Amino acid sequence: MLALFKAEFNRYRYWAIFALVQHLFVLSFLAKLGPILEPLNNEVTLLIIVLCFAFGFVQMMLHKRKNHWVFLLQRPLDASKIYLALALAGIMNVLIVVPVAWFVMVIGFDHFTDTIIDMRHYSFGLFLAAIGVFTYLIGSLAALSASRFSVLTGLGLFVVFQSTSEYILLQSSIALMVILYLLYLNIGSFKPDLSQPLKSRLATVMLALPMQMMIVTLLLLSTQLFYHLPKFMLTSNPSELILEGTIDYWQDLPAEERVKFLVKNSNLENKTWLARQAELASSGVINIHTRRFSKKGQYPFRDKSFSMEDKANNNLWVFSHDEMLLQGINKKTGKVVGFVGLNGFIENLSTVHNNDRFNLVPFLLKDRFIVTENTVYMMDFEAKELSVKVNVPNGEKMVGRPQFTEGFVSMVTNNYTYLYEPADMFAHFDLAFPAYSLAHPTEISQISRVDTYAMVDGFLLIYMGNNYYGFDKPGAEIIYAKRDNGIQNIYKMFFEKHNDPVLIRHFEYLISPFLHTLDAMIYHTLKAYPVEEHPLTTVISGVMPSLVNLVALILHLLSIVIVFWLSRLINLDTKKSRLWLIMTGLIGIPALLSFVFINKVKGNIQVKPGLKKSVLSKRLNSTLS
Amino acid sequence: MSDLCIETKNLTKQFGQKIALNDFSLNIAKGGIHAIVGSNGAGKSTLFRLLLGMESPTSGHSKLMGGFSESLSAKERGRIGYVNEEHTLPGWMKVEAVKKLQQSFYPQWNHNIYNQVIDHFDVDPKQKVSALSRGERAGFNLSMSLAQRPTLLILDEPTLGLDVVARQSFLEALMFAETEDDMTTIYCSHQMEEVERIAEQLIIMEQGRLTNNSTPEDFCKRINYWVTDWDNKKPKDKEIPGFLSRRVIDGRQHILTVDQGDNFSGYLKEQGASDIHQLPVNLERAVNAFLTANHKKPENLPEYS
Repeated sequence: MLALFKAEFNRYRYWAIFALVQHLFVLSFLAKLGPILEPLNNEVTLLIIVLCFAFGFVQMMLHKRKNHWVFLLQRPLDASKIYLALALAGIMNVLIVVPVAWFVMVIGFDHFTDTIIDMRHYSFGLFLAAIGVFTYLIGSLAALSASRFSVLTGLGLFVVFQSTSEYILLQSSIALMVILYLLYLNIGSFKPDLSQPLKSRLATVMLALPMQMMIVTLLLLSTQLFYHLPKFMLTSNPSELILEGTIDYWQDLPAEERVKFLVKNSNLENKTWLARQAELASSGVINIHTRRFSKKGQYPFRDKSFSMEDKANNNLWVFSHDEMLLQGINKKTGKVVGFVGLNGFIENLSTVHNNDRFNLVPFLLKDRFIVTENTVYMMDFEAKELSVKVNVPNGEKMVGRPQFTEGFVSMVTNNYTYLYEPADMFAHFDLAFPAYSLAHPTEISQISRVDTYAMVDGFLLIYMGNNYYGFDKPGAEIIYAKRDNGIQNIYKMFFEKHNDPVLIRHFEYLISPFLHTLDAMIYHTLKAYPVEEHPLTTVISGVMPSLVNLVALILHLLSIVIVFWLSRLINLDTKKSRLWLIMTGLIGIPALLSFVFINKVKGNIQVKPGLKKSVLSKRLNSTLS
Repeated sequence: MSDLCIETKNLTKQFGQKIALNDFSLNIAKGGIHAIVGSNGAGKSTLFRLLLGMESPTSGHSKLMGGFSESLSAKERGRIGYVNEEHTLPGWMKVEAVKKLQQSFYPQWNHNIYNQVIDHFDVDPKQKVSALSRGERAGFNLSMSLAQRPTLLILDEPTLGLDVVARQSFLEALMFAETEDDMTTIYCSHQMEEVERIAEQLIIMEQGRLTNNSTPEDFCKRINYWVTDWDNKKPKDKEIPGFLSRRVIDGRQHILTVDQGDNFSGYLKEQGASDIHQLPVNLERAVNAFLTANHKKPENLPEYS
């Protein structure tokens, strides 16, 4: 095995060195254009993904050529060991190209520039290596698997792999697990007769499940073809695509017309006045679900957005994850000028106490504000002082960063939206108090956005969301925050009409309620993206319209019957048939499609011995082709 | 322990609509050199791929040295040498490195055999495999396969594309190497003079079917060569029993038939033939006539007269 590993490694070693030099050249070039450590260099990552996939694919395709394959396999060594030798050689070459270049760059930055380099910058090299290995294994699987649709499995796993979790350990564990997962599938696929599907039932499930998740995505995309495109073609005016009276129609209106539209059928006495005032008012938007606070060592890093510039002294203050402090560096001399912690300026690290360090990575805004979950601090570089501008009340915490708009500064906590006068926020040393404190009119997870109108005597706010009044119940609510007269909830709007029929709106659930739930659970566990948009409760609380549930049930039953029939048609063995029936019972249509893809139904119907070509099977073949 | 080296039973392999092997049953005893001949597309390479477990049969099964082809263990694979017509070897490696690589897998590797065989060819150990000529590559491939001391050696058209000198060296190396006594060699070739020289058993495949499994001498006995004069009322080719081929040389009819005994002269007389002579036939002519008889031709092709 070692001899085979060496031979295979040597085969590509010069290519790997050549690619390493090219990689370094690209990184150096990008470093000239801007700070390479931020944002996460997506172009390079994409290049790594494409090249590693191509390498894995080409490497195995070269071995797959008929006579080469016999030469490779026809030796006294288990197929699994042969694969491991080849794959380890390939991975070693990937490691030469991917992380080495990254480490060279990071070490260079660390030692020869004033850029703050944390441990996470180094460890990101390992994460990049994991991306390289992962995509290499997908390429290898795509070449080796009997089903060419195995690339969907790779894509399905990639979706999980690339989801950025806020827990670095969790993310690393997922990366490792997914790599082992792919390795197992590759070993199973690497067998003398490559045309045969995987033997092991566990491997079959492992191949099928991520493939089914991608099938869901493809089926979702297919609605563009069978619903949206015909709808678009049949409509003479594109504006008619959005039905009047729906939340989409309303959101499409210009800001100045939205209030008028909402109140036109209301019983409000001053509705004309309100509409006119909103027309004249300057409007803004408060995003409820903004980026959350990063944890120590979290990827990806956008160092530039976590830095502040002290122009007067030519210092750059960057947040260091290793120290969980702001670190100041003189841009001219490159020397460290000090640190900033929760309790103010610190001359050197030896005097730092644990209670000085931040718990989460704060947002740094407007070159003076440091925002934590509970407090907004203001920096005075000249005086070397840190003053508290805002203290969030006990029991609350900020869900994103403050938003600075023309007329006000907004802060959203889990319970309230606070509006501040900009002048108060920028005033030195004084604690700022909110001009308006607005309790969320409903669960924050049900609010997607707040529109604001600066009225003469306060603010008109429109809270809205597609699930504002509960699952699949879009709505909006007008709240008038008057300077002297308190907060008034003046109007609620229910959007009864939907732009798309219920079966299209809940198409993902319809295809597979199980996968829909599983998908939500995975992302909740990973906390990978604003999960508020995909509340788990809506998935499992049984609030889906009965028509959707009924159609989903019919599709499930139909899928089971078809899988049963197809498994008989291709003479699938009993254990495998049972497995597929159970999977289809759980998952539905995606399982049926993956059954067809993995078991190569079309080919097997043609060649099975003793099978009389009934009219039925001929018809099926013509359908499949 | 089975006495059979290769055993196939009702082996069928279908690729889409095309049947490569059709209900193919073959038993090959251990030891000796068995030649497999057949026209292109007869299913020879498919048979080898099925035997080595690189393809799965549509129906039937095959065994190599008692083990099912589809589940050959690493140990069983170690007892099988395989040389293909392309002499596929890692072209990016040097000869010495490839030898070392192969040697590392076979504890029973025999240096003497390797040297004996490689000496027939002008192969520099420092040379890259990709720089070797086709003949040198064939020799290098054969020397490694024999040095592994296989129990079964499969040679799939190993001399294809080689010039006369390289072919000669290859055959000499194969015949005079000190191989194991019980080694079975399966030799697949289109070159009848090679088959005639080395084969102890002749297996003929046509359109995925087994049509002969006998010694070359016995096969030649099946083919009869008749020279006769005929008037204009000669029967059509397809009406002649066991007809293989007919040529007219100097106005005389030269007819080859299969499995027609001495009584065939009686048949010829009945059909108006005169001055009938039976001549001996060599293996090459016999095999060629046998194979071309069933070769697909356009339906309206005029008969040779």
